[in-house]
Amino acid sequence: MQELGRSNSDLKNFLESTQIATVFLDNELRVTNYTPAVTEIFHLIETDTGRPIGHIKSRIAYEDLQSDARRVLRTLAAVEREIESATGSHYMVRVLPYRSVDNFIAGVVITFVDITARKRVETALRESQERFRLVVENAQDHAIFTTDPEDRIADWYPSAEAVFGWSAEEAVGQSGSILFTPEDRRQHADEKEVETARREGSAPNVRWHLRKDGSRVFIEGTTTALRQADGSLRGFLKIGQDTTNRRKIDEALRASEMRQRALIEGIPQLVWRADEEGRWTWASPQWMSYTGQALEESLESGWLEAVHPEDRDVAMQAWEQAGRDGFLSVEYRVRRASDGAWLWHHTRSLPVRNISDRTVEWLGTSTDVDAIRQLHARQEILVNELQHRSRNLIGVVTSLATRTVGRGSPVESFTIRLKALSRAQALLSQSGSDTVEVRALVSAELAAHAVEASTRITVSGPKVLLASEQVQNFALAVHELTTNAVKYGALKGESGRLSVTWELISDEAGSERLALKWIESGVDLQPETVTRRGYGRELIDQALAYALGGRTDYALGADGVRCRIELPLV
Amino acid sequence: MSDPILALSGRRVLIVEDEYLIAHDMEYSLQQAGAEVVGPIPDAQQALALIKTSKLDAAILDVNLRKEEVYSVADKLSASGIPYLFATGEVQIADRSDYRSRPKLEKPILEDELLRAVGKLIQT
Repeated sequence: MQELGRSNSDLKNFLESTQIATVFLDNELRVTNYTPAVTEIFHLIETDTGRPIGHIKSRIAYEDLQSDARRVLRTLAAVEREIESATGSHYMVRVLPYRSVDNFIAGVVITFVDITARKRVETALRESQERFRLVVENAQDHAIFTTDPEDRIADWYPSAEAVFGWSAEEAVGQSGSILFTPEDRRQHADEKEVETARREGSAPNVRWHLRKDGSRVFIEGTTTALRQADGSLRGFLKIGQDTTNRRKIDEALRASEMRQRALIEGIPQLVWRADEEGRWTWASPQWMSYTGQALEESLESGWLEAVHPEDRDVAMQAWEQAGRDGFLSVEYRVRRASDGAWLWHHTRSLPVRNISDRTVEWLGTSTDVDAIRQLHARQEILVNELQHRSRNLIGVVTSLATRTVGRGSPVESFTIRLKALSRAQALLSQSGSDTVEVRALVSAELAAHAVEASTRITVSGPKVLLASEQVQNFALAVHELTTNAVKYGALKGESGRLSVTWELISDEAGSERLALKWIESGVDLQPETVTRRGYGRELIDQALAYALGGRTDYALGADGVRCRIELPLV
Repeated sequence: MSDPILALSGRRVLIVEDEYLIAHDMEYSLQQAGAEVVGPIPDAQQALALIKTSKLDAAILDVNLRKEEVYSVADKLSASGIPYLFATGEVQIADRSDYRSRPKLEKPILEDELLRAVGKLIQT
């Protein structure tokens, strides 16, 4: 009896010390005993012992409590359920048959285990898995897959299939290396990547990869080592973004930029960029090498230092004008560093506008126009020179006409001299320069009057050039000698001979002079020839001396004219 | 005002012109009008010497001489108070008001035109 009492005490102590909420019911489902923890669920007080459980108010929604208990009594098989309380707590409810010591069924034992915390973890895990699934399946341009510690593909998600073309059946079990290009595999890039991830936790994966169909896809991603709780390697998670298109656009943009750069740095113009007030933001390498300025020196208004001080105001005024005109066009001198020369440059600039038509900056060029300007100036001089010459020529022609026809000579005496003038002018324009050779002048004059007599004529001398202002008078002098010879001298009969020779001599001052000898021989001189002294002689004697500082010795020898002409060369 | 050509009679006129034929044409014209010609002279050096030693009433100057321009002669004439005119094939006369204010005949010069212009120089 005492033992039984002790046993009862043990049981009571045990029930009270346990945290597990437990209630005992007899075969009529009346409460026979309970642990204190159960009062969290049922409003049980001591006097409730013996009352049917159905009468006890419950905090949990467990409608089937009585039917579950009856089934257990009937079948003797345990029942397990998860029940949620009104406060959101979760309980695992177990209903077991209560066997007495002599093995007959005296009711049921119901235990309530609070599984709220476990439940929460489970839900969080499920949600997390769901999120992961959504991310993996919806990340279309992100290939995601995992490999085992030997880098064999373990999980292959739809996004990986979309990027690489392999289906999950095809991919799983294959080596991760199948995604690497042959050249990367040759260099063991696949092994090195996994090795780095194993060693350091993760490894960047930014490279071209191979698709199933052999085409290539550019991936920017990482390979991350996956580890078990104990730190052992479980495999690798590989996530990579397909950036092929972006890369192609980038490459096209880069190529376009490089072409533009090559163009800007290749053209001979000096290129620069500026804001709307002419403050430079960039200068091309050409500008820097031309002016010797460093880039920083040319920026803002620094470029003005390379502009001629006298032209700086003009340059800045042009920028004010550009704001009104919408373009810049100005000429100023820029200093060339190589020799310090100030060369004229034509500077042009236009605003660069963005899509919404706002001016973002000005892009400009400076072009060397110095040679063109010099050419232009030279052309002006040439035009003036031409004016001068043609006006003088008309003066000369007028004078010839006055002296010949105007004083009673036949018209032929004028036209024949006009032709001589024309020949001299023709030689001048043919030569394309300002000079004519002595031989050309002599030969042209002789050819005009005595072609058939050439075997009796000797013409010889070194190459001597006469300047344009000498040509006209020299040609007229040779003309007078020739026509005289044709009319009265060596070129008239069959017996005469003519020798025209010349050489270069030096005068006392060391200046070069032309010395030409005109020697006729075998001429049967007529009396009137000896006394004749006409306009032709005057031209020979006077014109050369007057205009060219020449000296002429004209003499009538026993068998013909001997004339020596000496001219200083310019 | 009387015919300026008549004013030339007995007056001394310097001709500086490097083209022989043109120079002698002008000389001939002036002589026909009764003037006395000093020169003609083809270069500035000789012309300057003549101005020193000769009495002159007027001068005709070609601008572009063989080796130089005629302005040194022009300055000397101005300093001596001798009137002159330019007879030139040049389009432009040097940009100095003293030169620009002088009469300018453009080649080719007609005889009558020349005589009237020189006559006017002497009259004024």
